[in-house]
Amino acid sequence: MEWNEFNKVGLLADEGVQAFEKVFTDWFGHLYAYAMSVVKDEGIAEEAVQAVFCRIWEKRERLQVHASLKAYLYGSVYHECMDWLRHRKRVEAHRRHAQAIYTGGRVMTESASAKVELGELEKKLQQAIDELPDQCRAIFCLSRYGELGYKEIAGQLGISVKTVEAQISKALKRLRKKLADFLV
Amino acid sequence: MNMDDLIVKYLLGAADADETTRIERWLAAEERNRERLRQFRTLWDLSGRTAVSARPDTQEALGRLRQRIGRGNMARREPERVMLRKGLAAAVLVGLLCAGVVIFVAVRRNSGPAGAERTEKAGVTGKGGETGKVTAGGGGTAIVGITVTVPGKDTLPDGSVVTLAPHSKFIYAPKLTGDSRTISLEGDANFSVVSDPARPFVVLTGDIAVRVLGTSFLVRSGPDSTEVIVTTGVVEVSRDKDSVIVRAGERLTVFGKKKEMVLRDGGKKSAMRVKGGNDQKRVMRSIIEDLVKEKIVPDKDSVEWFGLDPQHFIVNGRVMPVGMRQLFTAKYIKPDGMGYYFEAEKGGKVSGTGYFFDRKDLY
Repeated sequence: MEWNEFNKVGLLADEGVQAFEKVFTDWFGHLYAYAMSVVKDEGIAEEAVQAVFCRIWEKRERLQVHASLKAYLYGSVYHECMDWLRHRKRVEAHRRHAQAIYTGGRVMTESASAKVELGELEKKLQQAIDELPDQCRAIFCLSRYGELGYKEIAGQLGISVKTVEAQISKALKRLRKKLADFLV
Repeated sequence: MNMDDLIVKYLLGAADADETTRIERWLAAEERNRERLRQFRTLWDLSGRTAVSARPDTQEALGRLRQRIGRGNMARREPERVMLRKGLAAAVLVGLLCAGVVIFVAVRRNSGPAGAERTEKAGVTGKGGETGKVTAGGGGTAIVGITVTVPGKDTLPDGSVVTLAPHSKFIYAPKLTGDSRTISLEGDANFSVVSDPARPFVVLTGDIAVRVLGTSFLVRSGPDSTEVIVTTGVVEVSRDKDSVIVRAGERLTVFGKKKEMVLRDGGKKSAMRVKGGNDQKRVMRSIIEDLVKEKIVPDKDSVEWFGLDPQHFIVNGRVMPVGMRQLFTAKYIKPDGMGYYFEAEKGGKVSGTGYFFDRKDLY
């Protein structure tokens, strides 16, 4: 369902609630997967997506979306996740054992990794993605999981297309460098 | 432009005609180059797939969203933000744990972002009290399940989010069951509370309980005092049997030793409500007796409200003659200038700096 349709229905009406919930069920999984790639925590990832939908609900009467619904949702989740990461950083700055925490590698929680059997290369790739700098990772994943174009990403994040391009390039270059030995 | 950047651009279909020509020529030149492009393509394709890992059940997530937005009917429900700061709760926490824990099992697991360590304790109450029901003051049932010591965000079972500062911890019942959702906190934490009028959200800091009644507020507490500043809505702050409702724009200071609660109106700094103790209640009753004696009112139940301070003496809306005021101020107003204010029922008719009581407080 596209935003216009969603908006047209009017969120106050009963159908509006249904439309809202449908948008949620349609997008939750995708947005969650994206949030997960950025924050690497199931609770926070869900919270990020939930927060975005709560805000949409609160603002439903005056919400203006000038982009596609998809771009808007991914962009909002991006901001939510980055806020969290920034907060996390401030908090971590106080902790001496910060290094130990961010040595990364651990991507999924036990339950998740039990369900998903990744190939060796995929595991290594996931690890390498996790080790990308926060913003770089967030933008890269936005393009990857959100399948958003550079322009859409730039528009949603309020940055230039050049920056988006540079971040994605940086991500891929880093990944290749790390994984060159595993890539046939 | 670096060749890798160009490859990426080409790969993602963002290269213009010139760049495309250039890269295609470069690719044609050597197998090594084509290999490089393949590597990038593999990474690109794979990275899109790895994303789809385990995810929570969408229907369950929708349930949580509905609960957050308004119990199934999507009525508007604002998240409430609470900031708590605690300086002296260490002893209290120890007290809470000792009060009721008979057995606890410590479980360590790796969870949370970045492999942070978290300790979980499954608790059982000693007195058969309800798990999760914690009362302030140390003497009540106090048991708790999960101890979180890792700074950062945690989502509680009710959907509320706690952001914990470093060197802080909080404890809550595993499922936040019970009549209230009670959290015990040591240190600083930011709470984003999912409103649920049926089950108030209570934060305990030392012997002070902050009950969320639908609001956003800040609690700061140091070794000598705790401050509660309310931005929107209403909170109830209680200590032992005293409790004070703090409304938007007001600031309550609870002093540690003096057992005094001082309420200031955020807008009018001069006005200050002080929660008096038994001494002040005695004074208050004595003033009311004098009002009857002086025939200002026929009996004590006829007092709707009054205010007595160095500058004012008003009873049921009537300004008392200066002579009468002097008589009363001489007898009751101490050098600290604290006034005595009475309202039959709490209603905010009277304002000033001093002690505030209603009929229920006194009789």
